[in-house]
Amino acid sequence: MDDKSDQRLERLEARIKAARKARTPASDGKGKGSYSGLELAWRMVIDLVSGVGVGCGIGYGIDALAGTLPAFMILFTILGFGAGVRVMMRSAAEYQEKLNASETAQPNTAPATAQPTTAPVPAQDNTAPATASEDDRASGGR
Amino acid sequence: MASDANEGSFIHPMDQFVIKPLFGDGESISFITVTNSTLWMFIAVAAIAALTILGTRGRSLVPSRTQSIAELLYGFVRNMVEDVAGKGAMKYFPYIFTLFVFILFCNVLGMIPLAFTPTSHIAVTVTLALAVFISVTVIGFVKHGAAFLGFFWPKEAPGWLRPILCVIELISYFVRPVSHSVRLGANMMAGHAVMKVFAGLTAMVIAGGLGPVAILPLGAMVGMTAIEFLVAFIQAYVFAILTCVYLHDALHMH
Repeated sequence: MDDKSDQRLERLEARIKAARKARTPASDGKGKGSYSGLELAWRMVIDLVSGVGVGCGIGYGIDALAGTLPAFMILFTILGFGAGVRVMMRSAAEYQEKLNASETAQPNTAPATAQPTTAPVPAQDNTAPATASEDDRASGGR
Repeated sequence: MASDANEGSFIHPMDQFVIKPLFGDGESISFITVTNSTLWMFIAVAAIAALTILGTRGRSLVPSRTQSIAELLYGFVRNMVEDVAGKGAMKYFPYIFTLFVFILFCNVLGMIPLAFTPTSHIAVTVTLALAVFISVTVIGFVKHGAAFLGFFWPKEAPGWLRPILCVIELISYFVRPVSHSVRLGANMMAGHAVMKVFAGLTAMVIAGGLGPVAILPLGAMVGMTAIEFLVAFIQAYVFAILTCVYLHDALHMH
């Protein structure tokens, strides 16, 4: 009796998984892309501006302590700009990495559906994209 | 709209951000005054508690609607922490989950007409970002000791460049809390202000006797509202994911 309901649940999970897999790629593809580009642009601009701002602030602080008003402020504003660019480049690299990862992981999603009932332990590694690990949790979390 | 000061009074985009004390004489604000900002933060906390405690009270195998929302939130943040910060960061999952859910609820509850959005104030977001910044730095030093300072010392650069790059690294480390907080606060504030501007524009056009033209700002406002819901979610997500990134840096020093 209990065994039977377990099997039924497993079958249901497999079906849910299959349905999810069938649906996600379409919504993932275009919906997120356009906005996350905007978001990234926002993030970079804020990083750059706050880099200059923080550098300027640190420079002004040192100047106020040392009494050499424009010198350190100029130096640290430039350094702050460098820091802003650095942070910006880092987030760009992160984004690139993510893009690469999702591109290489895309073909792997298909075989993953073939063995959906290895459920109880969510042991599959997190190299797969978000959808796959989400499914692992859904089936492992009961 | 600036030509006539009397009719231009429809547009008050910044009025919604005024902090008002709820009790007392309605003027003075001290450190512990209960303001509208406090109220909406409490409402956010109450809503979260209702969702996560009351919603999951059934603990059923096949979740009810509220339980599945709570489970979805939990799983979403859990995946994020695991993917971005690594398995070793699961210790700090409760903190990141709290941050994410609190910001998300503040943002989304702020979309209710006449509501106040606590996260639109830089004071609130700076507090959150500073808490992250300080705790992440402390975690770094506790985990690695003084070796954590090596995080700022670029080993792969040529010798004479290293001190300069070190200063740049140091500054970029301090840029983190600034951009972390400004991003959230500015996004929320700008979006809400733009919505108010369009609303004021609609009222102004109607008052100016150009009735049907009002469909334009009204339509823009509908679009803005949709975008703002998206922003409310995305900004909470971005805040949480950046917390994970910082945590990852502190734990692994890559």
